[in-house]
Amino acid sequence: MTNDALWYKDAIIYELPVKSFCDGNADGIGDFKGLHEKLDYLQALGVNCLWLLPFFPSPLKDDGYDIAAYTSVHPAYGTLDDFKAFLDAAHARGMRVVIELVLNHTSDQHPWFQRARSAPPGSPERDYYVWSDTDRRFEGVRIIFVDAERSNWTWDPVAQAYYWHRFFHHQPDLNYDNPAVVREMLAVLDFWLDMGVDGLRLDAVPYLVEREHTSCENLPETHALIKAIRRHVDAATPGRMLLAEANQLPADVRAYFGDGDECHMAYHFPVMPRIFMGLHAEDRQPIVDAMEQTPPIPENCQWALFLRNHDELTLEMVTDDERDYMYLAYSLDPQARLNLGIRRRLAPLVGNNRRRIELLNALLFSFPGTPIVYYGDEIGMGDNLYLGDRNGVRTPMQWTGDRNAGFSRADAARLYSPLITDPVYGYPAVNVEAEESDTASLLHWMRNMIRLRRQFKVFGRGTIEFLSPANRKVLAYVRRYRDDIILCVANLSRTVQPAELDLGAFDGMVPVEMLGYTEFPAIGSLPYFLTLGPYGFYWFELQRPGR
Amino acid sequence: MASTGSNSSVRAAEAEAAQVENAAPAEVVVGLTSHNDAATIGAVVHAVQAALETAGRADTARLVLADAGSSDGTREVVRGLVAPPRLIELEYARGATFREMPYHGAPGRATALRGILEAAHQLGARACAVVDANRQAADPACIDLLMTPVLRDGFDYVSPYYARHANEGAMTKGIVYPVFRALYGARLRQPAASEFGCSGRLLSHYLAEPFWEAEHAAAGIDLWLAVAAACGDFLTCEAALGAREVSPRGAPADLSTTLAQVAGALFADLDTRVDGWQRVRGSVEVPMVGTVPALETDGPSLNLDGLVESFRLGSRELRDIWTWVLPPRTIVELRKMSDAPPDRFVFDDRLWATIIYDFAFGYCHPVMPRDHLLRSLTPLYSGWLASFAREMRGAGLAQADERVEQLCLAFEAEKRYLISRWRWPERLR
Amino acid sequence: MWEQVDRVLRQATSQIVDHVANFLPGVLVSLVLVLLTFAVAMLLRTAVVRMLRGIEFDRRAGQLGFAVLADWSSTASPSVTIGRIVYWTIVVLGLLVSLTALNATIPSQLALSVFEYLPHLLAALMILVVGAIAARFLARAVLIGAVNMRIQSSRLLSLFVKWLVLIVTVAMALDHLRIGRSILLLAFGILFGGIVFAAALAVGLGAKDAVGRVIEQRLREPERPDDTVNHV
Repeated sequence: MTNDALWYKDAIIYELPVKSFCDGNADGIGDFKGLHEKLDYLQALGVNCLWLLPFFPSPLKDDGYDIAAYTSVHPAYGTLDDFKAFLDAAHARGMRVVIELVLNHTSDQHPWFQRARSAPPGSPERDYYVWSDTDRRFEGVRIIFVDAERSNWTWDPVAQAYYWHRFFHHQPDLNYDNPAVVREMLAVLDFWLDMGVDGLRLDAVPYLVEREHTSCENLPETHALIKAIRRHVDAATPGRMLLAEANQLPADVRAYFGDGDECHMAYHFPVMPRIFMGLHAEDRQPIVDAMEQTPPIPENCQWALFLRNHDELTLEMVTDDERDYMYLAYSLDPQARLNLGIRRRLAPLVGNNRRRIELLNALLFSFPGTPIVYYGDEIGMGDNLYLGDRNGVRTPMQWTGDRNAGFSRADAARLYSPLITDPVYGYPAVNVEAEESDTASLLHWMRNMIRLRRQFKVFGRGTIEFLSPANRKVLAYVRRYRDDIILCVANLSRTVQPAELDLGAFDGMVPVEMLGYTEFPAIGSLPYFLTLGPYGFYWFELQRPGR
Repeated sequence: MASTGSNSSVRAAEAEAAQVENAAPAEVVVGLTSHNDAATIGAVVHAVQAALETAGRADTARLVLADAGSSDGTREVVRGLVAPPRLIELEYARGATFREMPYHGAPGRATALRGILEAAHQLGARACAVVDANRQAADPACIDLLMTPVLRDGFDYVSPYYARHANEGAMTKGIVYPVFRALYGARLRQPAASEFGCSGRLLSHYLAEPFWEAEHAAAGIDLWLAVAAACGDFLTCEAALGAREVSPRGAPADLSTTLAQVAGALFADLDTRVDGWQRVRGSVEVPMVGTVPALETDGPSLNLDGLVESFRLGSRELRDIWTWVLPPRTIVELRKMSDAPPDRFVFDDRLWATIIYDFAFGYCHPVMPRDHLLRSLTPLYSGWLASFAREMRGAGLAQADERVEQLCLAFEAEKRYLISRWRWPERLR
Repeated sequence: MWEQVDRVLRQATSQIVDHVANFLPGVLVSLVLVLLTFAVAMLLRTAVVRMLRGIEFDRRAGQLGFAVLADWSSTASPSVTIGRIVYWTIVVLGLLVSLTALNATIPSQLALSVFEYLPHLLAALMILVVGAIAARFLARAVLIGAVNMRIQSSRLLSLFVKWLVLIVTVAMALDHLRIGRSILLLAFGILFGGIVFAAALAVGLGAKDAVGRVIEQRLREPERPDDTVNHV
């Protein structure tokens, strides 16, 4: 592995829940042993960073985001030694590992909470959480899981008080005004970083600190806390990465980079729905708008981009009209909606159209930022809308067409979740083994694209300028980094489209199509004319004519 | 594969470190690599001393001897001519066992070169020249040419250019040079020769490179040094070192072993330097110092019919193996060639280039044991050599160079074939 | 009469009790043995799998072409498969041992003979797997080597090597299983003897002149000129 402190800029992240990836001990639940066995697959895919969803001891009421002990591994997933063995093996293959750190809240099963509810009011133990005698404090703060919760306060009969929670009622928020809590969390941080973990995803960062008469989101106190965490990490274990999960408008998310002294990375939430919108409307404007409204970020910071992840395709950060459009376009089936979003995987969202999947991934890989691939999307897995909450997109990984899709050797009834079995996306049709033996498969396509992207630092580090061809169905942009100039052109429509690009700035240069290394006619003073097939996209290296 | 026993190398490193630390700084370091070269090393040391005297650097120069466990008194010869502190002996190979004999017959060469470069680095040398002790004609002017371009003209890497007959060094002419030039963009015609000069800046760059411990480093290290120089931001030049006449060290004469080692070393670098070579376009000329002498004697003759016959046999029997890496078009082309009458036997440049690229790709994305793959290239090389030698019958140095230039242009033109195959591979079989 | 009945009943009861008393310790011991067997088998399986994982056996096995192992059970990795083999071997052995503890003659004899036979079975399997891989590898190496040495009938030679290795492998396996030992020996003797004899006859009678010419050429002719060219 390189020692580059900016490694996260050149990374390609693969997001996976340990539970769903591979079961090594035949108990129906994926574990670190299974994941360890599949590292070669991930290495062959070309990803160089793994992001693991929470794997800590937990009552699993919120898929592990309700943590009951921070410095150990849920027994279903293995032991701490299994994790260490996996971590070393991943490092040996040049892959880094990012894990979750849920700062905002714990499970109500966490010993801290159990202790707090029976401690006398005002004691430091009690103050680990946010208590109130009424449910009228912090009025007007929005409720995030509107489908599940009615209030941010829940009455605790043991403590005889209300406790504060921004998410589910079984996830009480920690009180960061209590220095003891900060100390405890830094110790947790050190525990994992000292073990060799390369990065931490800070879950739900905007909600850390609460203040009266505010939205309790993005408060200055929260930023101060994150800065303190960053200073602590940089001093103890430099070269590690902090990734902020702040589902906010880009201008608010921008604040989580600080002056390069808060988080290294943050998700770009608004661009994802707008890519889908642009695709459906066959119009580049939503995408260009989203990208152009993105504020500039410090040199050492990076956006994390994704098409789909373990949550719903969130529509919180778009306008009401846009949300309506998205619902109409992508989820006529009300079953697919959850909270303010659409809970589907990539392939079903785009009608399992291979060209659309390829186009979306090509956009993901060529936009400025670090792409995140959600497990299973590299083989075009489907989802199961009839599983509750977001479990429909967390079904077992489909390895083979054999029993239990090769995921586990347990009884089918013992699996933590039913497999996808429908005729289109079911594991007999969509699985790793089959796609590995077929060179034209999506898996091979993804491997080639990932390898190609990794060869060019410009994608992760370069600048972006959009071109404005008259045809609005064509999206064209130029990426630049040092001497490299890459021109990307994409057709968002389902029919053939012409494009006249104004490439006057590159007069005399020769576009070389990157996938097949084919030279195109040199750029002249006239507009450069291209024809793009349905959902076609081109990546060109602009080369100076023969040296 | 330079596999010295770990204990001995540790001990050696300590002894050597003590020796180097005690020495005063030096401006120039001349490294001598030897292995049972008692017959020639005396003349070489004389020439080195003469070269240093003439340049007025005798006082600020050190001679570093890296001997690969000679048993014929090579070391004693050197000790008789130079004494410490001017002489530093590296102890790298004492009690070492070498698993594989590289084609050039000097086992543990990577360790030897590393030792020399490390010593030069510690002595703070501005220039370091490496001379092979088995050269028969040791001309002081030649040795000077490895140092002066670095010290006077600011070059970082001096690659030797020996005048050789058309048929000599065909593997370098037909595979190593064209691939090196097309991939890395520098026209160094003999990038894998066993002598070179380098600057202090390049020296430190070399020592930071990861290839020293790599597999097959003994056979590949000379080439990898040239590649590292060409890939970095370094000034390179060629030095005309006269004719290359070396006394054979009893290296394996087996053609397929030699080919496997040379081609293997070349291909092994592709995977690690993929970011570099896929961006290089065209190639640049490299300045030349010294004058190339005319060749006096006639070159060795080749048994052309035997080579063609070997090609035919190969294309009949090894076809199944070749289909693992070569596309059907090439296989059909090869069959047509083997059916042609011997006097019309011609190996097309572009076909040769794509074959080499296919093998390089096959080497980096293994489908069968690499040794098998490389050895199965031998009949193809024989065929190409037959075609090349027939064309070069009676040709002089200039003509041969011109022909090789043509071949290189074919390799440069077909580079896009390699890149496209690399970026968007279809399954091999 | 009641006394008689009582006596007979007592006798019968004491006999049964005797039998049970004789039998029970054996049952207990064998039960303990069975339990122990399972424990040891599980321990060993874990140890073997851990060790194989530690040396990254799965990846190496894939490279070496142990695909055979993976084919046996498509869901398990090679190391798991080997772990399973170890586990079941020990379980079977343990069960047989526990049968002998029951002091029953027939099972113990069976157990003994199986004990004697089992290692041979395993060894034979090992030999077959290794032999099959070696045959393929060697055949290719010989083919390439022979072509590079310009031997006209390279393919024949390679086929010969392949079948030779395979036949020897099978013969070794059969020998280990003690199946048809003498026949095998005889057959091999005849086969090899015949081949060598035929070759000798052919050289001695038929190809006398040709062989003579070859040897003469070898002795007289200098090395082929292309062998002296420095290729590098």
